[in-house]
Amino acid sequence: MIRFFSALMICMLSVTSVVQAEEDDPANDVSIVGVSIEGAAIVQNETHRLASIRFIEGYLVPAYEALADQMRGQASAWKRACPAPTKAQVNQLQEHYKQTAGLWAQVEFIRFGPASFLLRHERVNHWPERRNAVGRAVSTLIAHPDAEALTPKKFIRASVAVQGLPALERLLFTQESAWQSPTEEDAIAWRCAIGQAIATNLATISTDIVNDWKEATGPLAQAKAGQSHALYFTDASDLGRRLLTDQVSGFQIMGDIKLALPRGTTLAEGEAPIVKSGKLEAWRSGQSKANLLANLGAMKAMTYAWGTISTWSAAQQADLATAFEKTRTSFDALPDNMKEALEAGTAQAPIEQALIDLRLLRAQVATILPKSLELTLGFNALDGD
Amino acid sequence: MPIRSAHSRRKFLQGGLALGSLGLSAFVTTPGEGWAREPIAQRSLFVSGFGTGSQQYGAATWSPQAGAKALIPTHAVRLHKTVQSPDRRTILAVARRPGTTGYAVDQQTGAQTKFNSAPQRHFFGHALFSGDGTKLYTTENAYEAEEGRIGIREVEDTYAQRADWSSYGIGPHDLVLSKGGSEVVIANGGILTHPDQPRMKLNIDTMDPSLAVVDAKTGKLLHQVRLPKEHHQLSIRHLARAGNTVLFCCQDQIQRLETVSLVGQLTKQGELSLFDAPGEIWRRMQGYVGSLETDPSETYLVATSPRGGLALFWEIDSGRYLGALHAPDVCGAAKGGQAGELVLSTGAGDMLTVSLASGKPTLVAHQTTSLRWDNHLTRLAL
Repeated sequence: MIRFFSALMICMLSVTSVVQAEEDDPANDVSIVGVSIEGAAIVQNETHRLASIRFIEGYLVPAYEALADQMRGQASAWKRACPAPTKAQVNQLQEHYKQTAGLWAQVEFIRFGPASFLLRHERVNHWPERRNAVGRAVSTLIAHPDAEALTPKKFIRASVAVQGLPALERLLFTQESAWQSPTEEDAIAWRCAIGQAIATNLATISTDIVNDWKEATGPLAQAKAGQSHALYFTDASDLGRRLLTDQVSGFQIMGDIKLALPRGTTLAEGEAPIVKSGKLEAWRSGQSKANLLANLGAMKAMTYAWGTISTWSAAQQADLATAFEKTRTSFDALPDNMKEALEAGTAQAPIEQALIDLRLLRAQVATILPKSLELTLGFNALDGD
Repeated sequence: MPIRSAHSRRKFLQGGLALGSLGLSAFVTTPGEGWAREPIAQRSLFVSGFGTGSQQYGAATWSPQAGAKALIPTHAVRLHKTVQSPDRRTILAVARRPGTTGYAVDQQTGAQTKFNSAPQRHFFGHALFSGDGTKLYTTENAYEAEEGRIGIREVEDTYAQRADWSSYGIGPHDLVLSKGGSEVVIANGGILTHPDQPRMKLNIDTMDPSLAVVDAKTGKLLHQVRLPKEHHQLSIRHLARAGNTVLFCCQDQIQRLETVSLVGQLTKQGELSLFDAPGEIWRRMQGYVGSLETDPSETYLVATSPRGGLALFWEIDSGRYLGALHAPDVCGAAKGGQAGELVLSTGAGDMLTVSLASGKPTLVAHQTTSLRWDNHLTRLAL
């Protein structure tokens, strides 16, 4: 009880002085609980600031730049191919899609920062979807030719379901014969125009993400200057925590959504699980496994990009390297055509092994990385409820 | 309404201590002296969901005198808002999404009751007792039908579901009684989720959040209001009440350059109006308000943002912004012991008492616990 009232007295004294000093400006009228005085220079945690900068400069921005390059190349390819792509050009566009999807998988987990601005992340990749939202939106667009709807100004306001990679995949990998019907010139031209609009939209979004990260008052520059960023983070610790949380959430996306969900669940002991192969990511283009491998590669690169390896013990370094290697081996062992294999019942065992190894890897990363960064993942701040 | 005796309060505390020893005693702070001897104003007991560093969850009570005690250890199930029955006897919480379990504790006997959502349903972490305490309303996700529902449960029959109503929207979250308990106001967050894709938001560009006012006996829709169309990505999540005024707060699902108010009220004319605050403060809220509450006199309002580490305060009638308090991961908010007082909890384990008696927020007490307090804090009526 005495301790409680002592604490109370100290708080009363310190808080009163803050309020009196700043009472003229309500925006600055902020009392303090163990942080910093509002209006004074922000005291940045240097460990968090420097590690975050290493992460952004060493991994994130180069990965976004590679994605933007690829997306611009893809947009050019669509421009060249439209309005009447040859079979060879359609094949080329399909390859572009696969390259793009692979590069997106390397930044997919990071929703923080410029990727979150104006729903960019959802516009690039509206997945998972409910009730075939992408298919329905694409079909509606195909059925109602209206060139005005594809102008960049209008298209960025269209449903996120038609703006990104899943819509492009639908156009390129379903009804492939629709691209080559000699009597359907107008339909092919319209289909091509839609693809071109999506590819142009993707190139714009990815370029904007890079530019926003790198602009003179952007989040990277602000972090380097030891400042907060009005839109994205309050201080270096907040920045680090958000990036780390997004990275670690990648385990849930890979495990729960990309692997466990399509594998299905068993309703009763001894019964076969109800397979949901249609829940696989990018199954139409056969990219499910490739995207997972790219995700895992990104997870590894991100883990090391923080630059804290020197603080890990030799045993931790070895354990983490082994865990990544084992998970890579089990991901490699996944069937190339995961949809067919799931439906044939041959994918369940390798998926199970991949989930086991991924779980162990997550435990290693979640134990070693936050500790070495001296960061605690938030509790209330991160749950979205 | 029965008034609990000092004897029953002591029994409850003993029950709390006993539950606290079930593998969770390590975080329980040292109890102070018996609080029955404390002055009336010091008698205050709060309850909140919690988590520990080792990912154990549940609900715990806290008082300035006795510290924290585990009340409902759920182990793996994370709770959200904890509520008290009108007869003050029962404390209840349901799992946050996509959880399917509810827990009730009888404070007199210590008996626990568990109940579940119907198949293909899950809870959203909020429940509400009817005014007479015979029914429990739970916000639920009928995820295959993609509909928001309100489960109607019979308190005396171990919370068995007797009926359910439409919530008249997607993603119903919080709900409060209004007009003397004759109406229920439901916050439809508007976000479509499915337990197959945990934590993923599946309809961000077509969200349609709303406040639905329904008859508390029949569930009939009486009134439904929405924010202006350009704000359809403000998910209306949490509610508080000041007399017949319903206050609400939002979570912005889109990162944007312009600032937008996240806190408002349903006016007597049945319209929504938003509270004002300096633009910079809204920016720092990071588009996220986690909880809101009024002081005991229902003069003041607090809205908390764990993402921004900020609690903002207003005078309700005038809408005048009074200032902010900065505390990392602050979210829970409950009425304090006297007019103008509010108690806030944080994910770092802090309990902060703030007074607005001077017309400005002033921190008057700060205690710490080793628990990570979850989004909502409730003051128990004793």
